[in-house]
Amino acid sequence: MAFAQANPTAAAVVAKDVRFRVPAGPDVLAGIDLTIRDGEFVVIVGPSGCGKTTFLNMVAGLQGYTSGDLRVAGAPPKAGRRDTAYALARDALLPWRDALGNVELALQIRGIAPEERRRRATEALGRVGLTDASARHPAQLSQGMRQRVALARTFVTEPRLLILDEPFAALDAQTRIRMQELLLALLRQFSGTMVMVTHDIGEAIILADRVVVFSPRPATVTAIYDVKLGNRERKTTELRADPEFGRLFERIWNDIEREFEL
Amino acid sequence: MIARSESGSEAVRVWAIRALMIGVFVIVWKVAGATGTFNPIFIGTPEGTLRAFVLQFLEYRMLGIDLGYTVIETLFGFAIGAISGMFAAVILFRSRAARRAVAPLVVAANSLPRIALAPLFVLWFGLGIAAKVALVVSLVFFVMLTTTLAGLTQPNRDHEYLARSLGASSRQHILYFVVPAAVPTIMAGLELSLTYSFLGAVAGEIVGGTYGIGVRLTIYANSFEIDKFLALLLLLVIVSTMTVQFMRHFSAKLTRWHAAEQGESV
Repeated sequence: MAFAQANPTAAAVVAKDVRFRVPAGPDVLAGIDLTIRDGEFVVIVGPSGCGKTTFLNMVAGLQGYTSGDLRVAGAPPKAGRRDTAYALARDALLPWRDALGNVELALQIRGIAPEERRRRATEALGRVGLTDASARHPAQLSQGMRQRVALARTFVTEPRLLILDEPFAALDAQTRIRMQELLLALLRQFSGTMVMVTHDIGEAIILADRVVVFSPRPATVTAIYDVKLGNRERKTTELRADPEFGRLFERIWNDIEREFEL
Repeated sequence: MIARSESGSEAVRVWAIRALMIGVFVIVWKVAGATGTFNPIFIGTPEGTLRAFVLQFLEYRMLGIDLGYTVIETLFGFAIGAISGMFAAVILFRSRAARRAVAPLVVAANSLPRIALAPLFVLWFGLGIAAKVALVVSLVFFVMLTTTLAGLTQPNRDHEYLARSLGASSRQHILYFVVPAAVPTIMAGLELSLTYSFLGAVAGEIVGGTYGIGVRLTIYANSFEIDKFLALLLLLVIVSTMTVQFMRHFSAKLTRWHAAEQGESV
């Protein structure tokens, strides 16, 4: 894996007072201020429907904002950046392509030659433990396997910026923990920046360098927590057993709950 | 895919039920004629129909000319109608304004009973093949236009987002996302069109023609040769079913993923 070295002083994503209002509707984002450093893993949590995904779509360049300033790698956000990979909440696999074909899709769109495409996609499927399932179609895969194919598709382009929107929302509890373990393993070999959205506080603490808490609609940043658990070296079970995990969990939980009582 | 391996005993049962249904039908038919409930002059007899069915193969004019005409009209009309219908759909797909402009016209054309145009086509194109091909095209064109367009324009927000986030060009978007998603709908349209093609060709021949199955059916009905009429109808059913089955076999390969998504056995 030949990733460029992270530059911790540079900012991957800078949001300054980013607002979004639906025409003739309520405010969705009421001024988001957030700086995500290069090489950092940031996980955004917040109550459902608070606008987390909307913000993520803006970073991915899939959606515009009403006012404020948003920069991705120093430039206005743009969909289809070659250094960015976006994993949607649902796996969005193409049902007519087998697992290998789905992973290849990202490379195919970048115009990479068939042999290299095949080689890299096979390698990416291997990294998520699906070498044997490469010829199976999405309908023949379990939810967990489908999500792993989606992860392989996300990582295969060797992005610098990884955007994940509740990637494990559709999974049962056990599969979800296994997927978190897998993602953590993949992230260990990844030196880029990750921005992820989840409603699962435990998942956020396990995967993040910093956890950002959004308020209910219209969303603002309520709190930001530094996670100092040494996540990148430890297993998820170890992390969950750490007393600091419990303390953080409780504080973030209270943050989200308090907002609801208002 | 799992459901594909049906047990042998179920296959036997399926065929037994089919045989039973045909058996019951033939018996009711025979008894109805023999007891005088219905006059065999109008409904024919099973054994007479079977005899006529076998004998029609000995008649050169039957197979070589009349069936040939009908099949050629059907296939020509199907090919011309399907290709032009799909082509028109692609053009409309590229332009939202054009799509909206012609939408009411397409609905109107689709609700027009096309068979009503048959006398007009005879007037324009004469009693030969051309008039029947025109009728078939008028049926197939609109079926393929609407089904292809429906297939191409089915929305999938996740796939849209994925295409955009991967930076797909509009050509790549159509090639990798839109067209594959449309294939099952288009194949279903083609299957329906093929059935319509036989209908159009035979109906065209009944309205006016020199050769073809439809011409023969008219002659047999007018001369009370019900056994021959039914035997010919049976032949027509067999030919059109075989054609549709052939096409299904071909399309199953392309749409297997879709059947698997729907949880059907292929």
